[in-house]
Amino acid sequence: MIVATRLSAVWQVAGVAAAALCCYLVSQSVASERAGLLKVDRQIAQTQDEIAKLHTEIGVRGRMGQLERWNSEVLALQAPRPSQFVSSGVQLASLYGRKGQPALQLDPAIVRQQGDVTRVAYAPPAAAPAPAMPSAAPAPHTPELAPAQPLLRTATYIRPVPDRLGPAPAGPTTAPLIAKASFQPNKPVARPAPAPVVKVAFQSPKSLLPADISVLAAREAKGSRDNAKAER
Amino acid sequence: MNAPAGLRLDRAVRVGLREPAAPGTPMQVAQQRLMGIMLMFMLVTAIIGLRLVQICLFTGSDGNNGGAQNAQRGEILDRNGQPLATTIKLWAVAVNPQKILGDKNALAVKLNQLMPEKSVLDYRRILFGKRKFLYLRQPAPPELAAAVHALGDPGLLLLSESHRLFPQSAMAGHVLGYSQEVENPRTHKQELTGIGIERYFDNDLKAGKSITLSIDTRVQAALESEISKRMVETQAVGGAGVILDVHTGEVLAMASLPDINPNAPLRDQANMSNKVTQSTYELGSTFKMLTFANAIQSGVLTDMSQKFDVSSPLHVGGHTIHDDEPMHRALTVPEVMTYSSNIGTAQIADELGPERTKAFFRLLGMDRRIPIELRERGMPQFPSYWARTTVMTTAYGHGIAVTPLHLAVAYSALANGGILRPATLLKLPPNAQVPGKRVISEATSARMRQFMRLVVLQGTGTNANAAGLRVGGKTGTAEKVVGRGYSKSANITVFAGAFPMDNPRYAVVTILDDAKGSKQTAGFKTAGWMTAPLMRRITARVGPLLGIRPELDKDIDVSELMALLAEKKVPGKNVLE
Repeated sequence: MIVATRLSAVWQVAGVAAAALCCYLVSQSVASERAGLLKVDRQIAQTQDEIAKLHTEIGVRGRMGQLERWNSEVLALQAPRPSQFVSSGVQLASLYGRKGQPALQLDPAIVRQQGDVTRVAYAPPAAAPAPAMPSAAPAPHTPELAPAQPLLRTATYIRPVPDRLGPAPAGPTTAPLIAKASFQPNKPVARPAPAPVVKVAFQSPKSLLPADISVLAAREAKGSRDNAKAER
Repeated sequence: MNAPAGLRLDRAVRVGLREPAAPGTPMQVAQQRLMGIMLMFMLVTAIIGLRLVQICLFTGSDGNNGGAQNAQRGEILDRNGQPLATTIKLWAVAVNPQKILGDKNALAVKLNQLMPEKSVLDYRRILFGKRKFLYLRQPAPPELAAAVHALGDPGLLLLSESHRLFPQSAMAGHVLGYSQEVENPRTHKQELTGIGIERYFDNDLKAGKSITLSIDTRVQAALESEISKRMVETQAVGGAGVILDVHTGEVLAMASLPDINPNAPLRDQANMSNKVTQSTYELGSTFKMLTFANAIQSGVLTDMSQKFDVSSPLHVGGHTIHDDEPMHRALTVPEVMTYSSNIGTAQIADELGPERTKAFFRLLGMDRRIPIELRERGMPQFPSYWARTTVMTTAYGHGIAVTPLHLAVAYSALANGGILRPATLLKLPPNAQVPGKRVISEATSARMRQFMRLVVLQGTGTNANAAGLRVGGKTGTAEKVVGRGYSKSANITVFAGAFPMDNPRYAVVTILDDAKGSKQTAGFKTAGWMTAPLMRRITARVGPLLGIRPELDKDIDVSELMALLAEKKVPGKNVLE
């Protein structure tokens, strides 16, 4: 009992010491957490500084005056003209293929469907060379273009007129089309070929009416030359 | 010495409390002493702990918040958030020769390797000198700072200094401006000087606030580059331009050339004046639009087919008013405008009379400084006495001098349906407008739009017709005021207008100072040949940027006025380039 009362003071002291130690440890860990936070804060500030610096550098290097100078020296871009704006998808689509090269690659599935429609108008020519032959016959052309031929030919009927007006770029564009019209009856076994030739002749007076062998031969030669050019 | 005393005291207390207890075995004494020592240690620990807590809670927090924000000056941003002025930290290398520890001769050689702008001899002179502080390089690139740091001498100082940077360099220099404390030589006090937004919003920027301007960097760059190109072509000595949003009053671009570079503002003292807000000009025939608007609004011009005889010069009070291209016949109202007849306009103004003329100019704010967030605002030269000649000459922009911004604000009101809105350089929240007041009716404004478009289609402004953008406006040419009189050889050429005319959104005023004619312009140096082409280029470039699509099949209906023109121009004829 006496020992207990005498030791109670020791226990008290030990308890207080333990509590103080705990408090100290807690405050230590809080302090270390705080230090960690401060470090993260510093890192964030530093990163933000760097970001700001990089932004500034990008801003300075890409300043409008500099871009303007590059533009005047290298790119020479100008303000867009009204004709460069399109108001609808239809207008946009109409811009494709202006130079005789249909940039719009048609979906083969639609082409197959549309092929039927064109066959109504061009019954004799389109029927025979439709899907299988073109890949074999006009070698230099892409296979996508070949099945599109019957569909596109309706468009070429309208186009030859502006093509003739522009003399320089017109040559290579008209030639393969006409050549194809004349080729296809010859190379494939399909007989109905003569019909389109006559039609083409009617539509465009440039392809002279007397469909002589000499004219055909000339066109053939021209066509082959064009093809060779295209290959090159 | 204290501890034993304390112990003794402690022991005495204990002894006093426990009377019957024996003085204690040595064991007990030892225990008590130990306990006392432990208590003391705990007390000291507790005090230290409390002090730490105090430091953590109070000193730490206010130390973090205070400095960082005050040090950083706020940014200036354009309307799309692109920084136009920002503050960056730059290193500076300095030396305190008295604190150098290492070998000064070796250090001088190393410094010469790092910063070869000074010779080894120079560095030795500095290092062995008696000064206590000297900048070696300011600002220094980070690599150099790191290299100097690697030398590791305590006498070499690396200072991090904040530096105001304008990333777009000279772009919008007059709008951004600068601000700095300068000592007044008379009072020996520090005084704030400067121009532009930096000066106007100095307090806000100092407090770390960012300012978002209504300026659009792209539009500003386009405007400046087109004006400077045209200045080179026409050998003009100066140029200015401003683009306003007619519905909100926001300034999208404001250019005054030759420009100043706010990164080094004091280098171009001669060009410090802002030609848009500070310089006043007689803006010539562009004022005819204002006179017409006044006349239509006040009922003087009701019939557009009314004719004015302009066959002979007008002699009023010792003053002769004549036309640049005399027509020798009577002109209808639209013809007076398209031929830019001074005689016809003077007659209309004469019918208006001094009171209404004066009142309308006052309504447009032409008798006072233009309200805008800049300190550099010029006072217009507004006539104090309105004689009959004053009324007649101010009608076509002579005898009254205002800033280009005055004119731009007035043209915005003519185009936007008749509301005069003061211009602002601050970006407004979406759908907000600067509060305005009505100066003309919707109907008058609609008529003025027709007139503006007609001038570009058929009148002196055909060179301004940007394809598809429905530009409208009026040219103005005035003789430059040199000294106390007019120069016969130098012109101020102006184009004031708006686009697209079927639904005006932006008003533009451009000015060339002393543009000279060339073979290309058939020797003409009037606004139709000098500034109108500039307007076309600006509009063609800026229109699509601002979301206005050039459309050739869209236009305002001017057939009503077109029918009153006796001679019509062939489209595309006499057009520059």
